[in-house]
Formats: sequence, C-alpha cells, structure tokens
Amino acid sequence: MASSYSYIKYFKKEFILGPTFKMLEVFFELLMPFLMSYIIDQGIDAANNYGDYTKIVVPGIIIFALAVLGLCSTLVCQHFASIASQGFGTRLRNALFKKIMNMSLRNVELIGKGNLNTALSNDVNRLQVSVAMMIRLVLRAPTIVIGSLICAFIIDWQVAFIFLGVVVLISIILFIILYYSSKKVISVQKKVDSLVTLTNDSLNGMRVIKAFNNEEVEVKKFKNKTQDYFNEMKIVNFVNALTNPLTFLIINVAICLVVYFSSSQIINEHTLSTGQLTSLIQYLNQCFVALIAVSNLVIIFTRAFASKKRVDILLNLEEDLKNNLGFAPFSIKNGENLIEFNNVSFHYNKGENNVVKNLNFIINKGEKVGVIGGTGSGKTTLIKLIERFFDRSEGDILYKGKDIKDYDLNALHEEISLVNQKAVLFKGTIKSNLLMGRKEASEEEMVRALKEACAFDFVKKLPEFLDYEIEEGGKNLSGGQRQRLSIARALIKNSEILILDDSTSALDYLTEKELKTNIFNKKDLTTIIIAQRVSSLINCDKIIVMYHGEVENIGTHEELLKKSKVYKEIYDSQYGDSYETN
Amino acid sequence: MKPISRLFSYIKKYPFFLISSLICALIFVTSMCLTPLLFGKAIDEITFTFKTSILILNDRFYFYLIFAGILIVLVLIFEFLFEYLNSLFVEKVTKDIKDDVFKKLHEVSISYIDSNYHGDLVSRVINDTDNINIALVSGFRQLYQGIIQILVTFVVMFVLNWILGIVVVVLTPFGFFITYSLAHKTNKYFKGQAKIVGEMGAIALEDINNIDLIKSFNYEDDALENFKSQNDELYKVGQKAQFSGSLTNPITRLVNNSTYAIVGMVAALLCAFTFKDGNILLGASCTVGTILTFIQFSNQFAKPFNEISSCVPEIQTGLSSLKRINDVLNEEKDVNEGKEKVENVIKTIDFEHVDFGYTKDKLVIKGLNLEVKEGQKIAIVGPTGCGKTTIINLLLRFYDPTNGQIKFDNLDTKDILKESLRKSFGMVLQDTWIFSGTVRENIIYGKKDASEEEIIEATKKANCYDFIMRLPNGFDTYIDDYSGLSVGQKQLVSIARVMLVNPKIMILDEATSNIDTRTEMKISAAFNILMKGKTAFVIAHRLSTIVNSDLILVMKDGKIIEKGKHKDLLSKKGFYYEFYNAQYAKIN
Repeated sequence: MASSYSYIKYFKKEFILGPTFKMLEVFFELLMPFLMSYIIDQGIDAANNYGDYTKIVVPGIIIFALAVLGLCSTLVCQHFASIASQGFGTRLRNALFKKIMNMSLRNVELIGKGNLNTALSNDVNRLQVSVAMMIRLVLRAPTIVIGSLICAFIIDWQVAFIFLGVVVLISIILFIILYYSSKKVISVQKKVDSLVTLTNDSLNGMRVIKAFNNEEVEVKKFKNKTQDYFNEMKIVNFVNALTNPLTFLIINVAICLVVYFSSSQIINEHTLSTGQLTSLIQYLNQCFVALIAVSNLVIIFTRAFASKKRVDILLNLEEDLKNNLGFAPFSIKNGENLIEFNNVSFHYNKGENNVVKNLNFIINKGEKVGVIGGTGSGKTTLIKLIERFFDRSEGDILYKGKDIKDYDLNALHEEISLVNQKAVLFKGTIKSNLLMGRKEASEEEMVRALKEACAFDFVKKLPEFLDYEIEEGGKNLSGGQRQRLSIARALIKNSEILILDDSTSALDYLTEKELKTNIFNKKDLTTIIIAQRVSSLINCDKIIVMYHGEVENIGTHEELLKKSKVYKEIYDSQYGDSYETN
Repeated sequence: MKPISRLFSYIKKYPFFLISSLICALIFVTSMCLTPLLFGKAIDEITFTFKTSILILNDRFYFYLIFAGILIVLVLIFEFLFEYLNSLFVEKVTKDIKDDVFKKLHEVSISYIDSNYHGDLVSRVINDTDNINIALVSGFRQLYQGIIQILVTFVVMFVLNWILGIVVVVLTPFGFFITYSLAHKTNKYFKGQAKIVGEMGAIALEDINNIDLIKSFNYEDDALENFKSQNDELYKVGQKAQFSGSLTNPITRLVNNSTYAIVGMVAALLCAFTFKDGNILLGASCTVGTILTFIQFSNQFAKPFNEISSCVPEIQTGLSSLKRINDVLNEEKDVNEGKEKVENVIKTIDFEHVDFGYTKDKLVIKGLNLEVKEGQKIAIVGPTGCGKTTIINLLLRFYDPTNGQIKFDNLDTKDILKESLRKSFGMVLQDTWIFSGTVRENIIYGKKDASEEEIIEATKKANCYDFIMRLPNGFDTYIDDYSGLSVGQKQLVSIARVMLVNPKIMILDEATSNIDTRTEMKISAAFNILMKGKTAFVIAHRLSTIVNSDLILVMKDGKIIEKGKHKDLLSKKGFYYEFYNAQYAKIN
C-alpha cells in the first residue's frame, strides 16, 4: 500500500544528516550549564584566591564557541530539512495530481472535486510542513528533556526525581489540554462553517432579501450565530489561557523544591555545589521551553496525520477503468454501424439503483442524432458511456463493430469531440484553447473552425485576435462567446464524432440555427446533440427520447410526435398553450 | 474613516477589559520578573551559610522561598486572568466587526454586491476578521506583557547590578536586528512562493473541475507537464523560503547563548572582585545568586524582542485585513431618501425618458418610455444576456436610472420609501434562492407570522405541497442551495414564498433549462395563479408563453429595440419576427 510518507525514501541522506546535526546542537546546549557551574564553582574561587582569571574566561569563551558551533550545525540541519520537505512536497504533489488526472470520472464524482482540490493543496502542504518538523524539531524537544533529565541524574540523583515529576506532570497537563482543544476544534469549525454558509446565502439572495425587506432579519440571524461562536470560543479560550500559567507554576514550584532540598546537601553533606544548583535550575528552564515546543508539534502532527489519511486513500484508489491499450480505431464508410448499445445498464456501486438501464440503439456514421429528456433521465450518463469515462455495468457497447473496451482509451478519445454544458475555457489565449483540440492545427484551420462555430465575427474584433488572453474560467467572455469558442475547439479536432451536450443554450436562436446548419453540412461528421428544447433537434436524422434512465422511443421528429408520449408532452409544454389559460 | 481609527472605535467600547487586563499584566509580569531575584537571594543565603560554617540556614532563606511561592501563585492567577480577559476582549471586538461588516453588506447598493466576487466578500467577513483577531491577541500581548516585561526587567536589573544590566541591554537587541534584516532580505522568496502557490491552485482547480474535458481531449499528460513545471518553480522558491524562514530561531538562540556566555563571564569576574575588596564598583557587587538571577533576566529581557519577529507578520496580515474590512465599512449606504409610502394598489407605472447604464460610459437603456396600467401583463423577451433583468433592477430600485424618471401613480420612485416600494412587489427569479434552513423557514421568509393553514394553502397553490409532504420531515426538512431539492422544486418553493405574501405587482423570471416537462407545467400553472388579476412583468424565454401579453418588450444587446403586441410585432417583420420564427423553426 502506497503511503504519502513513502516519498521520504528519496531523502534518506537528509533524514539522517539533518537530525544528527540538530542533536549536535542540543548536545552543545546541554554542555553550557555544566561550563557555567564550573565558572561559578572553580572560576570565581581561582580568580579570588589566586588571581587566575583563565578559569572564568576560558569556559566563557568555550560556551560562546559552542553557541556558534550550535548555530552552524543547526543551519546544516535547516538546509537539509528545507530540501527534504520541499522536495517531498513536490514529489507528492506531482504524484497526486497525476493520480487525479488518471482517475476515472466515476471515482472523481464519488470523491468530489472539492475534496480532490483540498487534498492537493491543503493536505499536501500540511504533510510537507510535518516533514520539515520531523527533521527539525521532532528529536530536539525530547532530546532536551531527556538530556536535561540525564544531566540532573548525573549531578544529583535525589534532586533529579523532582525533574522526573515535573516532566510527567507537565506532559499530563499538556496532553489533557491538547486533547480537549483538538476535540473543540471540530465544533468551532462547524460554527465557522455555518457563518460562511449564511454569508454566502445572503450574498446570493440579496435581491430576494431586499425585495422582502428582510435585511434586518438576516443581520439578526447572523448576530445570533456570531454569539454562538463567541460562546464556544469562550470555553476554548478559558482552557487555552490555563496552559502557560500552569506550566509556569509547575516549573517554578519545582525550582523552589530543588533549592530547598539542595540546601542541606550543599551545607551539610557537601554533595552538591552552588554552581551545580544553578545548572539544575537552568536545566529545568530548558525543559520548560522544550515542552511548550512539544505542544505545538502535537498540533502540527495531528493535522498532518488527518491529511495523510485522506491523501493515502486517494493514492491507493484502485483504478476501476482499465486501458487495455488495444488497437486504434480504423475508418469506416458513411452509413455504416458506428456505435451500438445492446442492453446497456450502469450503476455507480454494486447494489445501487441503475442510473441508466437496458439501453438499445444504433448510431450510424454521418448521422445527426438528437437526445432529449428531462433532468435525471440519463442523457449525460449515456454520453459518458460513449466516451468510456465509465465502464458499463451490464450489456455491450460496440464501437465500429468491436467492443469499446478493446480500443486504446486515448485513441478512442481522439475519435470523439465533446462540447460541455458549461462551455469551459482554460486560462491562456484563444489560440492555446483551440490548440487543445489539435496541437498541430494551422491558423487557417483555426479560422475555419471559428467561422463554422459562428465565433469568427467576435474574435475578429478583438485587438489581439487569436492571442487574446482568456482569464481563468473564461470570465472575460460572455456565455455565448464561450460556447462558440468551445465548439470551435471541438471542431478543430477533426474527429469522427461530435457531441454537443446542451451546449448552445446561451446562443440566440438565429446564431444557433446558423451554427447547426454549418455542422449539419459536414456529412462525414457523426453528431450527437443533447438538448432540452425540441426546436434544437427538429432536423435530426433520429432522436433518442430518454425517460427515467431508459430509452423511451427513437425516431424522427414527426414519428415521435405520433408514437412517443414523453416527446409529445415535452413538445406540448414548449409549443402548447401559454400561461394565459383564459 | 481611517483603518486604525476604525479599529480604535471598536476597542474603546471595552474600557473595562483594557484596564483590567493592563492591571493583570502589571501584577503577573512584575511577579514573574521578581521570582528569579528571590531564587538568587535564596542561593546567596545557602552560600553565606556554607561559607560561615554556621550550618543552619537563616530564616531569610525560608522567607525568600515562601515569597517566591506567593509570587508564583500570583503569576498563575493573574496570567490566567490576563490571557482569558485578553482573548475575551478580542473575541468581542471581532464579533462586533463581523456583525457590522455583515450588516453593511445589507445596506450597500446592489451594485456593490454585484461588482464584487462573493467569495471575496465572504472572505472579508470570515477570514479577515479572523486575521484581525490573531493580530489583536498577539498585539495586545506584546503591548502589555512585552513592554511591561522589558520595563520591569530593565529597572530590576539596573537596581541589582548596573554593569550586568548594561551588558544584557546592549546584547539583546542584536537578535532582533539580525532577524529583522534577514526577513527583509528574504521577503522576495516568500512573495514569490505566495504567487506561485496561487497560480498553481488556480490551474489545479481548473483542471480538476473540468477533468471530463481534459480526458476527452487526451490532455492529461499536457496538464501534468504544465503542473509539473509550475511545481518545479515552486520547489526552487519554496526551498529557499523555507530555509530562510527556519533561520530565525537558531539565530535568536545564538544571540541568547552568547549573551548567556558573556553575562556569565562578566558576572563571575564581578563576583571575584566583590570577594576581593567588598565594594569596588559602585553598587555593582555580585554574588552567585546574582549570576543565576541575571541568566534568567537576560532570557526574560530577550523574550519580548524575539517574539516581535513572530508577531510582526501576524500584525502585518491583520493590518491589511483591517484595511479590506474598513473598505467595506466605508462604503456608502444605499440612498433611501424617499419618504412617501405606497399603500394602495398601484394604478399606473410610468417610465419617462429613462436612460440607464451599469457604467457611466455605456448606456444599456436609452430614452425608454413605457406606460403600464393596473392588471396589464408585460413580457420582456430577447436572447440570453440581453439585459432583461435590468428592468427588474430599475423597478425594484436596486439601481436608479441615470436620467429620466420612473413613476408609480405619478409619484417619482425616488420619493418613495424603498421598503414600501419593494413591499408592493413579488418576485420569482430564475436563479432561485434557497437558503440553508428548513422548508418552512424558506417559505415563510416574507411573512414570519403565517399560520399553518396559510402555509399549506400557499404551497398547494404553488404545486409544491405534495412533494414537500414526501420529504423526510415534511415542512421541517433541512435544505440548502446545493442539496435536498431539484432545480424545479426550488423554483416551486420560491413561488410558494411569494404566494404567501401575495403582493400587488409580480415579477416573474422563467427558468430556462434543466427542468423536466412535468415540473415546468406545474411552474406555469403556479405562475398563472400568481399573476391572476395583477400587474405582472414576465421575463420569458419561450415565446409561446407571452403571445397574449398586453405589451412585449424586445431586448437585444441590452437595449429595447422593439415594443408592442405580439401581432403588431409580427407584422412589423423586424427582429421579433425573425426571433419568433427561428424558435419555431420548421413548425410554423
């Protein structure tokens, strides 16, 4: 099973050297109080009695040298950490993006696009940070705590037990507080989410709110929710406000105890010196700082592990759609059998209801085929089966007489041009979007496609012409312009089949008519048009009527008016009586 | 108002918190600073006893320890109070800001809402207030705790031993200056990183959202290549950013440790001198206890300086968020200068020479004259995106005409109170609005005190009673804009909402697509009930529904190009004629 953290394996060197250098720094730091106690015990005495200042100055310089060495070795560690963590993040990001791009649409829809995006940005980032922390901090804090403990035991084993008590006590308190606040994080997040929802709702419905003069109602709703949030945060803040004072209390009570117990050892038993006592106090303070750092680490890693879980699920997702790398489709003559559906059914998961069932129809090369039906009637699923974005659950789909699964998936996609409901353009230029259709297309071909898609007139007027910059999501073009450009992009592909999935809805009737004429004039191009409006399909060679996931009827407009109940109903609703019943 | 004075206006509402947390900070910081002093004194007692061979500790030793104990408890109590009061105070301030921004969004003109990305506005309400929260918490901690800590430590240090005091005061700021200049130099990496992260996010979002297209164009590999090259860029800047970001702590430690070494050396030397001849350096005598005290003082003194480096970016983010919020709060309220109320049925609606443009240089309506009488049905038709909703915007005064007047019963709409004007209208838009809440809450939105019978009657008339009853919890089923109801069902619910209020004039916007035939018929029927005997404006997408209208306005490219009755318009053989025939294609 692939794990997100497995990408660490490319950074073995960094993972060994980084922490080693970090430990070196910790070791230097632990030496400092020893040297200081030497200065206090021996240095002052020597200076006082023999006028020998070297025992003060030399250890002092050594401490300074240790500090500089410590900095150098940490810098080495930070360097390795930045390489490993950023490199890890880069590899993981690439791998995840690749995985997503190759995911079947069924999986994409089951997981949800929003979740995929979050995984790619937030989750990978958190993992990346956690890798840096593994190298930089994970060993530092415990080493300081354990090192201080060991030093304390070396100095005086009896006093050292106070240390042990402190470490245990503080760990328990930190654990309880962290555990509590990690629980609370979820309920706080829920409150924030509901604020976001309300603000979103309000902005989207501003006209309705104003029409009902309900502004104050909304504001009041919001205020109640912020009050809820405030009350929740009150508790969280109460607990968080305890952390620092409590740890301060424990450490300083411990110092009191250490001073108290050492006093008799210094005075009566001579087993301890004042210099050693000061170094014990310093070790306690070092523990204090390190333990606070641990609590930050715990937060980082709890988040990282949640992210790891999500990313791992994605990385290990079994691909349900196999590309058999079979042969590429060959060419056939007009009128020959192009697509054949035999008793085809599809459901997302075993045991769930069929989205489409018992589909039976044939589309011949060159035919213009319409598909009509209400929402949820299975029109779009039908297209996805033809594109083999999904594999059928039952039945046979034949393409040019052979099982669709026998073709190479990419070669199959070369055969089909899809124009989506929500005409999507990518950030770039008009040219770069058109070239998505076919990389080697010449400017002449582009212009021809633009003309056929009725897009040339407006593209011509743009100062930069084909190099016109398209913003993210094509925001700087109107809906109709986007639709015409995405049709041009599909036409440039010169494919066997053109699928227009409700993709002329933003065009006015005259433009739509002209565009349809252009496409219908391409005799070799098999075209499948999905539409809500009867008027868009009237000239089609055959119309497939979908109803509740099944093919209700197939025929020309005139035939269907006679034999199809569903088609007649749709027709009547669009051409029948007006609202004015009187 | 300037951002800072805006913030101040919120802060000054809570003088109690400001003063009490200042008092708490004074108490706890002073106690905290004095504890090391007492430990030092206690150790001196030990040394003294040891040296004099009395072997019995003086009472002063126990006094120091007990006094230290009291100070520790004071720290516990007052640091807790300080942190808690500080966070409460900041939460209160941010709640106020949040509420006010949200309120402001409901007071500004619709054009402000239309011309800003909703995501951005939401982010101002939620994220920016959060940033201010974080900045205020650490800002106040720094201001109170940091400054007091520096001051108290400073005073105590100099009283105790001025030479060591100078050593600490001179050395400490080094760390601060080094990290500051480092942050300044490496800022470009962070900026570069933020930029690439933003771009990559946009690319990934686009690719994932349109993965079906990418697959159908066999574009996966190109997309991956593109992503990879961006990712490589990110690696280059990101690694440098990470490295320079991770330098702060080690450098601070270096400075602290160096101070530690130097303080230790100087203090030990002073000790030696002190032993030699009691009082050589005016009041700078030193003991072992002093060494310990100063080691801790140098940490205490440095801590606020070190924390500034982590607090500065937070405050910077907070300030830019404050500015974004202040921009919203400074936005003009929508003018509502009218005083008149319209109570009765409106007999006439007149558009007189109305010009209108969303921007000043581009008029979308020019010299529109229109007279609508009570009970008339006005249809507005034209290709999508031709500006049919402009008329609604003008009628409900979401926008005001650039020139000309709109009059209700010969009263300029500008003189009418907006609330009163809007009360006369019922509106069903194509983009139906369902907010997160129960079905019932959604329906009684315009009439909170509606009785159960009224609700049932309205939903029955709007053809949605049956399906609501089939929902898991009936009227109390929780729904939101994304789930629970189909597009058509949402439209029916919003019709019921208007049905319940039953206003005098109707504005109806037909749904274009994505609704199945049965639901569509239900909606038509409900529309008919709504319009019965009322003045109505219908935005129509299908011409069959408007043949009987009293007046048809034909719009194209944002302008009204033809107006008249169906038959007159047909005989004119103009755009409407063409439009009508195109829609009916082969049929007529």
